[in-house]
Parts: sequence; C-alpha cells; structure tokens
Amino acid sequence: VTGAREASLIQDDAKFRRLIEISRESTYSVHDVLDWSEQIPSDVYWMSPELLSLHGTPHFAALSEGQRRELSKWEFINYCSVNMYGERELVAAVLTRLYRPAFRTASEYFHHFIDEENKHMWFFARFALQYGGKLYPDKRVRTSSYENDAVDDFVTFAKITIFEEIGDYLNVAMMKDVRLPPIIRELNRVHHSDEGRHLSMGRKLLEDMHRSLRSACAADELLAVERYLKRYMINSVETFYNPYAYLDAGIADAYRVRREVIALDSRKSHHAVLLNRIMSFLVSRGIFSSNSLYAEEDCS
Amino acid sequence: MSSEAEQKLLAWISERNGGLPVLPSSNLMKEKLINSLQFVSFLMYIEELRGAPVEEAEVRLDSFSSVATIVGKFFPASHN
Repeated sequence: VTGAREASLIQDDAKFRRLIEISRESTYSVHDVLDWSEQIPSDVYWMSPELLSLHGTPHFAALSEGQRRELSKWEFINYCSVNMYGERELVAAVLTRLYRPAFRTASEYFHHFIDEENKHMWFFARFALQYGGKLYPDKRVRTSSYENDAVDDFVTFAKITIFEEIGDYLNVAMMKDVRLPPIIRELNRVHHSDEGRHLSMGRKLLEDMHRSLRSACAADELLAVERYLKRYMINSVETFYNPYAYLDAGIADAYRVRREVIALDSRKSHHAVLLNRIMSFLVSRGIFSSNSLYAEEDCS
Repeated sequence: MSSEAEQKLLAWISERNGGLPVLPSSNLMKEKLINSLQFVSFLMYIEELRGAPVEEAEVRLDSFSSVATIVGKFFPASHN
C-alpha cells in the first residue's frame, strides 16, 4: 500500500500549478508589508470583542469596558503566539515531506508554502514582542506519530488545514473590523490573502489522501482518525482560552475561569461556528461521518 | 498537600478514563491514560493546584510520566 501511495498520491497537478502562479504573482517583502511605526492607543480593542474567549459569559459581563479592552490586547498577543507556534509546527511537517515521492507533485508549491508561512511566523512573533513584550509559552507535547505512514500523512495535513481554517475565520472577522487599529487589520488581511491558497492546497491533499486511505484502511481505523481529529479541533479552539492572558488582563482565578468558560454551551456553540466551514468540507467529502463535535469527545 | 494534589490528579485522570482506577505509579502515556491532546488541559490543572506556572523548559514528557513523578517534581515543598 505504501509503495503505491508513494508513487502516485496526487494524480492531477493543475491545482498546484495554479497555486504556484498566484504565489509568484503575490509575493511581497515581509519587512515592508506592515507599518511597524504605528502606535496602538490604549483605548481601543486589539481583537474584536465578539471573538474574545470570555464573550457571552458571566465573566465577560462582569468586566468594565476598559477591562474588556485590556483582555483584547492580551488575547491578541495570545492569538499571535498560537499562530507562531502552530505555523512552526506545520512548516516542520511540510519540510519532512518535501520531495518525498508521494508529495513530489506538491513540492514546488511546498516551497511557496514554507516561504509564506515563514513570513507569517516572523510578523506574528514581531507583533507579539514589539507590542506585547512577549510570546506566551507553548506547552504542548509531542508524542509518537501513527505507525502507518499513509495515516500519519493524512492526519498531519488534516491538522494543518483545521488549524488554518480556524485562523482564517478570525482573520476575516478582524481584517474587516474598523474598531481595530490599522496594523492589526492589515496583519489579518495579509495573512488571509496567503492562507486562501494554503487552504486550497490542504483541501486538495486531504481529498486525494483520503481516497487512498479508504482503500487501504478498515472502517474502524477511519473512525478512530475522525475521533482524533475532532478532539484536535476542540483542542485547537481551546488554545484561545489562555489563563496567562487572563492574568495579564487582571482577571483573578484565571485557571478556574478557563475551566468554567470552556465547559459552557454558549462557548461550544461558538466553537461550532469557528469550525463550521472545515467541518462541512470534511463531511461533504465523506472524510467525516458526521458533524457532531462534542459527542465524540469521550472517545478520543 | 502532596497527598491532596496526588488525589486530585488521580481523580482528574480517572474521570477522563471512564472511572478507571489509576495508581500514582501508573505510566500516563504508555498506558494511554493521557494523550497529547489532553496534555495542555492536564498541565493547566497542575498549575492551578500548585498555584504557579510550570516553566516552558520544564514541559518534558519524562517529567509527567506518572502522578508520583509529577507530585515529586512540581509539588516539592508539600512532598516532604
């Protein structure tokens, strides 16, 4: 199975040729694309209040307008941190697959992907360090990957696509929000512009790879992958509930606040909105058997 | 306090494993009692119980191999 897959994972490279063309036409200097001299006033939101992790909860209702703005600052610094670490992880995953036979068709585009993600890591880190004075720590751990290469490849690219879909939802909302400072709107716009191609790549790879998996894996193996990825979805949205950001915003008992708000049905409904586009894609292509998210949680 | 932390951590893990009894010496990763996707929430709970963050450099799998190891490493004052 592995040999056949290695030789012919991607049959049609027209999609990749088009993505390469657009990347070449859209290239930019990361050092020139944002105005780093911009000062951010103290009385503005850094992140749309509707996107804040406490929004719609009793904890949010108890905050003053000033405290909400302060929370938005630190949650945006967390957003930059989450993006920096997430993109570092996915660049590493793509690098290990560069010019492997199964990914040879995609490898020319992978170079653009790595180049663009490198730029994103740079501006997310620069923003967090310049305007927040810190990147929040990354406290995830890595455990062994799947023994089956085909499953491991599929899960890796599924995680990349899920992560980028969540980020893109937030990008689109923030780039249009006139309450936010210009540099924050522009950072989100630039990121969204590149991510559209990365999402297109991810979807193409997922469809091709899952077609191969369906012929090689038993139904229970595919279901186990679905459960894992749904748990990954939940885990990804939970990275936006950062107790260190709450503490920086002056919110006491931050760990308890995190536990309480994550469990709220209103927040779970918000997670479903964040994940709606990727969930719909995965179900429509037969990659997921259902769009239920939290029902699977105990099975992870 | 170490006993209290130990009991709370064991209960947290057991709750996520269908009430399965967990020993302080149980190997959390090898016995698949905690997976990588649950790890951050588990770490947040450890930090909440100890009242202080675990430094990023200390986040290594071998420091979290069992509840006994965690209590020994991250609840040292109360462990004596």
